[in-house]
Amino acid sequence: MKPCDRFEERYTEYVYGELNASESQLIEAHLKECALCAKEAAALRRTLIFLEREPDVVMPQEITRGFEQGVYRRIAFEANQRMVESTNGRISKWAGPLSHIRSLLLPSSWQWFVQGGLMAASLAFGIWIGTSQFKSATPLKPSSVAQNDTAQQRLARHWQEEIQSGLDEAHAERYLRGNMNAALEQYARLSEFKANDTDLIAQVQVERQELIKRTGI
Amino acid sequence: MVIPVSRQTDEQLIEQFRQGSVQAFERLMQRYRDDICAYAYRHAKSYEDAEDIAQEVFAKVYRALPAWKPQASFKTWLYTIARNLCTDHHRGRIRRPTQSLEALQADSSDEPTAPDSANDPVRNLEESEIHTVIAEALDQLSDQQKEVFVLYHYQHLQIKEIAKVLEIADGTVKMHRHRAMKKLRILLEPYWKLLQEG
Repeated sequence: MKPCDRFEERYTEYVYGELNASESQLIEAHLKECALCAKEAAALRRTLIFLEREPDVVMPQEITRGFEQGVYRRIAFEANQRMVESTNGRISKWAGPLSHIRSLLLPSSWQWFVQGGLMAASLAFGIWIGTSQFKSATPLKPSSVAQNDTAQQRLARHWQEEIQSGLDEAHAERYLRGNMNAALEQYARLSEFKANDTDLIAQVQVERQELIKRTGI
Repeated sequence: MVIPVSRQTDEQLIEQFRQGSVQAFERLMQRYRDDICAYAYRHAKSYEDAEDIAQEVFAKVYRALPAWKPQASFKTWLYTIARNLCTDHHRGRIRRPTQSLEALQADSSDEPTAPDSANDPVRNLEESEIHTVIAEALDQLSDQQKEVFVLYHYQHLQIKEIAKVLEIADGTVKMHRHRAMKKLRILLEPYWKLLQEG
């Protein structure tokens, strides 16, 4: 024997107290007449009472203590990933065409001259960063840099290492405030900045331009 | 007039966050952290995994909030993200076989098996055992039944909110909840009877 189909679907609403007064009265009147339905409704109510005995889920303090920091770490890490991916795309998009245009427009001796000029400008920029901008930066543990990696890969690895180190909070803070400049400067200092590292200089320039465009700093 | 933080609505905090207040985001996070952690724990059954899921929920919220166009409440949106991440987490694991209610109804003698800890019916149930017994019973519900039941009974979402999170009709939510309750009644009856006798 099964409870009556007409009412049975409403018993959960009934035991949760969701029915209005007239609906409840209708159900109660039926329960007085039908022993099987009365048994079913009583069993559902007892089940609910049993479920209420279960204690609430309480997360251990050692987990909730570092919760917000963990969220910022994720935000910073993913912001870093996106920025590196975006920069990689931009550089690979323009590097080929620019090189081709330059070779079409300039005689080979001029190309050498322009290349030298660019390198000198990059060198000056690097020295400027090294002397004027990094004085107050806190020296950090140098990251392990593989010789064959591109500047973007090194930058990405550094940020990952920094995030994983105890400095994640400071790093996340910089991202949250949109201050990638500080992150870049710290990286350049960290990676034992070399004035002749043109890839790195170019990378820092690209990122700085991006930052200026985005933040107006 | 300055509104106390505790009385600020989610919408007010979201607006402040959009204007650059990281503190507003932190208040939203504090407001919902425990609920989302508990919800994730019901799915993941591990504090560490629950923390991972919940942190990812708020990281996603942080990234998406500036462009978020509310079609429902912030709370509903939050649970939608949490639910998707719990599903992703679940897919990465071997699932326990579950028995469908249809199979249960087709053969009344083949009732869902009571959880293992019921094998010794004379012992008293401690709080932690109650938790285990209920968790095992919930695992025997279908995915939709469990989802609806957890969101309603433990997370205290309203029927309409659950319908938004799961993208189903209000009536379907009620149907799943009722079927979940019927199944739980069968699974948990030995335990509440035991407590009554005790």
